[in-house]
Amino acid sequence: MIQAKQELATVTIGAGPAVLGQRRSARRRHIFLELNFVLPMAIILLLVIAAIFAPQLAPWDPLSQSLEARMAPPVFAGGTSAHLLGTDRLGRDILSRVIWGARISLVISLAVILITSTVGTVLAIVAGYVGGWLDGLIMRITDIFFAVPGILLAILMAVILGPSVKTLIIALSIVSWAPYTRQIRGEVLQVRESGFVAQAKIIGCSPVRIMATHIFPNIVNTLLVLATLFIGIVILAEAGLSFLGAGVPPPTPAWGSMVTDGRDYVQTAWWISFFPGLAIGLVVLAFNFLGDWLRDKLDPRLRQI
Amino acid sequence: MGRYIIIRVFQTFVSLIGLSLLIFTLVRMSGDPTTLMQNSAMTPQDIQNIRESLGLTKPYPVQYLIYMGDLLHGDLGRSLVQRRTVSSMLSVALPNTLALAGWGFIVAITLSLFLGVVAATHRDSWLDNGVKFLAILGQALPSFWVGIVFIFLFAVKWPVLPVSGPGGPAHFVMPVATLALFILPGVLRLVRSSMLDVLDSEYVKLARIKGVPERVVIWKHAFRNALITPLTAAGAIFGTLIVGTVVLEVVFAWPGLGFVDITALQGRDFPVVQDITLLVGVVVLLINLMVDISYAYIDPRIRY
Repeated sequence: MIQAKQELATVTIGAGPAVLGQRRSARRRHIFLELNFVLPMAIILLLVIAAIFAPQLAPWDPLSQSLEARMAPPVFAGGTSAHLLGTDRLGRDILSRVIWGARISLVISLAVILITSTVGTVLAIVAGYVGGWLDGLIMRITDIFFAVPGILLAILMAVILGPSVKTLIIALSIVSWAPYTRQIRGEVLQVRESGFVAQAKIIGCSPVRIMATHIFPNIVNTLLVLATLFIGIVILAEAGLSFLGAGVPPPTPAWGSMVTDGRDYVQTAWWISFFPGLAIGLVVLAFNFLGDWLRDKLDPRLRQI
Repeated sequence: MGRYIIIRVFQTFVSLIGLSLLIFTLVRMSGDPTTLMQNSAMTPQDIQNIRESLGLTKPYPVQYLIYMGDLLHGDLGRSLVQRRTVSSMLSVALPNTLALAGWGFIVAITLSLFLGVVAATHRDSWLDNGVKFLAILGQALPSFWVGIVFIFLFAVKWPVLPVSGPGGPAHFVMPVATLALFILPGVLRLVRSSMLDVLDSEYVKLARIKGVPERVVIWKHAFRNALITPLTAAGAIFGTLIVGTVVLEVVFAWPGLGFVDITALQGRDFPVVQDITLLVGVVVLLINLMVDISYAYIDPRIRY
């Protein structure tokens, strides 16, 4: 008994430094948080500028080939300043292709995010608010889309429709709307029970009006966080599909297919694969950090994702 | 309990039907699969004959029933490019994929359990931050690129490992390491956060107050319960594992399902791609079913 009391005492005393440590780390995390916003935003800004002003920024035409300048190394590995990041096996300038690749990457991922978040949210609100058999049906369909690995389904679609930017957007949209529906439906179920929804019903608001003006504004934060977190995932999936040959067909400069271009030349020209891959990694990193930051600010309940 | 299992099995059955319907609809989306089989030597009559022999002149519901009937008899159809049945192609490729995915799974799970527990028990230390950093990198860097960088480093610059292809144990090192890095972040996050939750619970505090040694508290009391959350995600983890394997088989020229899938993509050999997609989807659904049932045994609160 006495022993237990003593141990209880040590436990309480022991809590002192731990609490201090937490406070200290909270302060550190605060500074870190701001960096978590500034650094990713800088990279994303760079991406957007590269995407918009690709024709002005790229020193070369991304498609122009040159026999003399084939597989020229980057400037810091013995190359010339004409091709800062070197050239590929057809003599195309890597830097220019990476800049143009930003445009492809951004356009496709934004289109997919727009489509999937709209479809996913509408289905979630309908399923969560209307409920009943409709809810059951929508959630079963969601389960199926969770079960098939997206990349495989997207490859199947590329086989059927032939690889193109349009196919890629359709395929990525078909495989990535389900997480929105599952996550947001949970939120809708909570909002549905609130007093203001009941009151709106009493004064005779139509279901559509309740869903659009009373439910939707309450799930907007979750939607925003999910969409930001998913940009990184979509960019990675797009790059993966382009790498596998199920994405943007050549010669369009997409980062994923640029990595493929260099795969067989790892021994002689590592830079062909290296820089586009690095671009993918940096951009995805930036969107993941931004999504985490946004989640902490807007919707800490989403922590688990 | 019995009622729960029956409902879950029924739901899985409905999902399986839905999955087959989805894939069937997607394949018919192109309108007519024979457009993918045509070549310039064929007359319109030839094409019409192909259509009839494949049953494409029949109405869609009948076509779907024929497709399902064949599937249930184990007939996965024939490849359009190779003169073989799809099942013979898959039975050659499957062991290769299972070997790669199996080792990747073992390495990734062992690492993420260990690192997840270490990170949770040393919260906010440099160890925790290091583990988080690894997870963030693994999540952001494209796995196919990491694989190529590994090849450059360990097969070209310092040639200690074989470049690609299957073979002895050395051939496994790079693909398995890349695959493990790909699966690691998701599982690691789950283990870490679930471990943090458990460490915060009353019975762990009680165990500490009782004077149970910290090592026993962590590995016996907390760890076992922290395992439940990652277990429930087994279906999703398997899905990630397959996606990673498909991509990395292409990078490392590994003759498994992914390699077959991409070769079929290049030849627009849709029966092969269709069956691989269906196969993986079915396995994920069955894993989810098994997880839910075993979870209901572990946790009696789960009921319908």
